[in-house]
Amino acid sequence: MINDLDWKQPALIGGLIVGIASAIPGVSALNCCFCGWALIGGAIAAKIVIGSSSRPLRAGDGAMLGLYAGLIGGVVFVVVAVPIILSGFATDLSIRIMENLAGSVSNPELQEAMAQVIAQVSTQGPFERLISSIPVMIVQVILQAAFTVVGGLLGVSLFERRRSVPPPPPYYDQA
Amino acid sequence: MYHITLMVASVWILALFLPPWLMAGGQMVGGVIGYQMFSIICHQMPERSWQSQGFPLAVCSRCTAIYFGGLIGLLMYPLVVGFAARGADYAARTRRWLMLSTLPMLADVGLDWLGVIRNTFVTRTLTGLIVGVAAALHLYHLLVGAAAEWHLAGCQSTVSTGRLDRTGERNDDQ
Repeated sequence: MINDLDWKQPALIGGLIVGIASAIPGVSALNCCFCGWALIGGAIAAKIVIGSSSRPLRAGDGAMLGLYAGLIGGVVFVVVAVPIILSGFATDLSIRIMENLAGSVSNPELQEAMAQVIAQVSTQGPFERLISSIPVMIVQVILQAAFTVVGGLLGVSLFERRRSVPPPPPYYDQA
Repeated sequence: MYHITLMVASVWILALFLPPWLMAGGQMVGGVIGYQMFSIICHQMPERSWQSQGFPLAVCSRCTAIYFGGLIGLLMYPLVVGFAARGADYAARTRRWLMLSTLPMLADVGLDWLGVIRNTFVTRTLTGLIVGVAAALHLYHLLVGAAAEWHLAGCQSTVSTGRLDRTGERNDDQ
């Protein structure tokens, strides 16, 4: 169904937006709002296809387009994020989370246990840091793809103003 | 499809309680990994999160409310779809609801950011619930439409490749 549309370049643009923006520390903060970059990437991909297609896009096209953009975004995200993690440029997320949690807990035993875990995590080398980031990166790629599908759906819903013509009935050979 | 979506939404909400449950049970590593996974989609500020067993939930109060609202919206969908579709296009109507529902939340965020009115757990939860319900009513409908289109495209592809005869039965010899 999406094959009759010129979807490759828009999906690539959407994927680049999702992948690069989600991997760069600081810029990725928009993802705190429901994977904002994934929603934007999917919606932009849909908007570009709507502008260039001869027929109105339907919800299924938007979802498919979002999925492709999300998958491309996942690959781009991994390619950009791995050097950033290895370089140690990004603030170690697990330390930040543990510090936040330790601040919100009143139990002194738990606080001490958390301080020990923070100390352990702080001494990790780049390679260990990368290994420990793999589960989170996998989940991020899956979540990003899911939210990019939502972005594609919303993009079609918001930007497609042409009326869809009902599809023709299936063709049966009369012979 | 409705029941699968409902199940996914329920599991997602239960997953919000998993990291605090793990932390309270002494499973620190599992708990932190759980928090890390949800940190992708939320700022997780403890002072802005509901707590369970002495630990903040995996996402903030606004996000929690949106997800709960999403589940409520899904539960309401069978009732609303019949009512709302009368006299107007359901998708257009729920899109308008979704856009309108974001206004209280944007006002809540914006006024707090400007320092005019400090938002509270109550305002964040209420505005989040409204957005969650509206988003579920609109997005689930789009999802159903997408699934129907894929199903139809699959049927047309099967027919056009000659794998069905006039009675609709498989006939791979053609």
